[in-house]
Amino acid sequence: MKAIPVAGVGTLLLTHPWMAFSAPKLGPDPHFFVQIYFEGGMDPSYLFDARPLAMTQAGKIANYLGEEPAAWTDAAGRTTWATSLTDPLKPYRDRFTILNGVVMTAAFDGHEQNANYLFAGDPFGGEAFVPHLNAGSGRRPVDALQAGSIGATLTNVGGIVPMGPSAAESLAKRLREYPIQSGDPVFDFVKGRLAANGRGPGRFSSASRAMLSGLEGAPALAAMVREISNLDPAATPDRQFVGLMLDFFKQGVTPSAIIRFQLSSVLDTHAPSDAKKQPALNRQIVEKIALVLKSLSETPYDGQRNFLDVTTFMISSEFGRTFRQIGKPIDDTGTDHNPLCQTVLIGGKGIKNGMVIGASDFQSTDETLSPTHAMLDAESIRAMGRPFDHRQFTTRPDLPATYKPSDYLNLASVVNTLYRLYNKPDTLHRTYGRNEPTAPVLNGLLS
Amino acid sequence: MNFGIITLATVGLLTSSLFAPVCEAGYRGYYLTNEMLKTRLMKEGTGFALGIYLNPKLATDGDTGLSELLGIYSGGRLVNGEPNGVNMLLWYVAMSGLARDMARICELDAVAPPMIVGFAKAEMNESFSQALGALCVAWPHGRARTEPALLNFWLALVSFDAPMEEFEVWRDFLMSPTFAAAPAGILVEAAATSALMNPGFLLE
Repeated sequence: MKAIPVAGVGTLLLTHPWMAFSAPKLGPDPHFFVQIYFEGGMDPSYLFDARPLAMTQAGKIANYLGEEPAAWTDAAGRTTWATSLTDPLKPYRDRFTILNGVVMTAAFDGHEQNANYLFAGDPFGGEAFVPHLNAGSGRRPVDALQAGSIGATLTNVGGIVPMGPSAAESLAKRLREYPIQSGDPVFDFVKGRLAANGRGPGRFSSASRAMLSGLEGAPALAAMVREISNLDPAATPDRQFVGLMLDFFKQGVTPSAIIRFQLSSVLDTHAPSDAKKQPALNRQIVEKIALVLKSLSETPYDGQRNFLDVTTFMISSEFGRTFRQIGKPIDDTGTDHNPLCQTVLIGGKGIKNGMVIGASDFQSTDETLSPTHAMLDAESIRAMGRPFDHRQFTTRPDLPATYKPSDYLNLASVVNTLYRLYNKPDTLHRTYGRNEPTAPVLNGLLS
Repeated sequence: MNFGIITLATVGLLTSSLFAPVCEAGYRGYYLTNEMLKTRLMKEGTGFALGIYLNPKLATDGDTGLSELLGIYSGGRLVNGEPNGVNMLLWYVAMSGLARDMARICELDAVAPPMIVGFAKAEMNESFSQALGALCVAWPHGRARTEPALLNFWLALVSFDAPMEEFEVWRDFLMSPTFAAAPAGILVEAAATSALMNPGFLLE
């Protein structure tokens, strides 16, 4: 994709039809958010938290990539081991920060519980954080555009719309043929009945009010959606969706997107045959992340900024994976769930980018693991986040004897940092669990 | 799962949870609403797909996913069933499209842009055909501009899914000066759209 300057206009027009510039509709201080979610349990050891081959030769960790990782070092000299699979992200290394050793809910290792913890901060589900970010004045018609289904129990997702590119194009065509206009007597009559039915305390009234709210925004939403007309039939589904997302952003339909990308096979690689696909799967993961970052960075928001400048993003899975399975040969083993450690990438607007923060333990065969690690991982088949000093914003050298979530870099802190970035009230901030303290904001992440 | 995690999981189960899931009222969903319309409007054995008003190429191109945004049951749960800006827009587009088709039946001789025609006159059941025909033939004069004619049309569409107070307000709206001299097609389109968008019809 190539940017072509348009003489005399001061803006850029991109060759991809989805990327055609249109006047921003969200004002001079826009803020978009993209959450990218890889369902199934991403293995950090194939990307930004790799292990030396010596650990594989010692039978500690499966490595179907079979190459020595290289140091990925930030400007402050903080280093992690990264595989060559991350190479397509190097052009964007100053646009995101790597958070390693992020602990999820250490009490559960199920997909749904950890997905709930990721989206809602509770293993049993609750309110997703993305609608919280959008709440308040200037709320857009749609909380978030969603790609793919999300296996979490969420209660505030009525405004998150899983619309695909072909559906959006089909709707846009209909709206161009039959526009919806406020002021029409029938439209106003329907609004009146919804308002009348919405006066009351019950669920029916509540839903009627929600219908009214939706209908009141319908003409404006219709005007936005009918501008969507450039579905590129030759583009891949991922590219089409990212294009749709950018069009929705540009038209002011929504400030957020939640993307669950589909991969060629399951990321939940319990079976050895699946685990052997990890290099290919992670290559796809990186390609998809790079597609989003490239599209954001090559799409102008206005004369000065592109969409990556005005978008915060967060990329994660529901948990990481074990190094191996017990009783299987190291070259023919699957991997299981590991909620004690995953990598989160966070970046874009408002984030201090380009850093490597946090780390996982079990970096070498002879490393002494903490008593906490030994308790939670008796078979020594997992990495665990290293203890984290939230004030100094660095890992701690101590080896805790008992498990306290506040000793670690927890996903709750990552989400609370987003809340702070969006100036949301502290009452929204996540705790580590019932009767546990509030997870601290990672102030060092905020630019 | 190792012993340490099992232990913590047990504690977690006993001490959960931070948030209690809330059960919100929602739509009946696309398929149930479609079935209600099919039963009320069409002859037995005749097909009907409301989704054609969202995507005119539904029959040839398949569902683009818009229908699912009106609420579908998946895994025993209603998904996308909470009212929001997008699905209200979709309901309005779908119902006003259907209403336009009904109006077209009143206006067979009128000059109009090509229409979808989700159903044809020959496919309507007797009951609905009579209710629609009464308005088509006589509005704004004669027997059509009466409560019984409007009540028949309301019941043919909404049945008793909404309280009769809703009918009374709807009747008064259609009997107002706005539609006093309107052609039958305009009246039918307004009557059908406003009835089908009633929350009593759309909500579970």
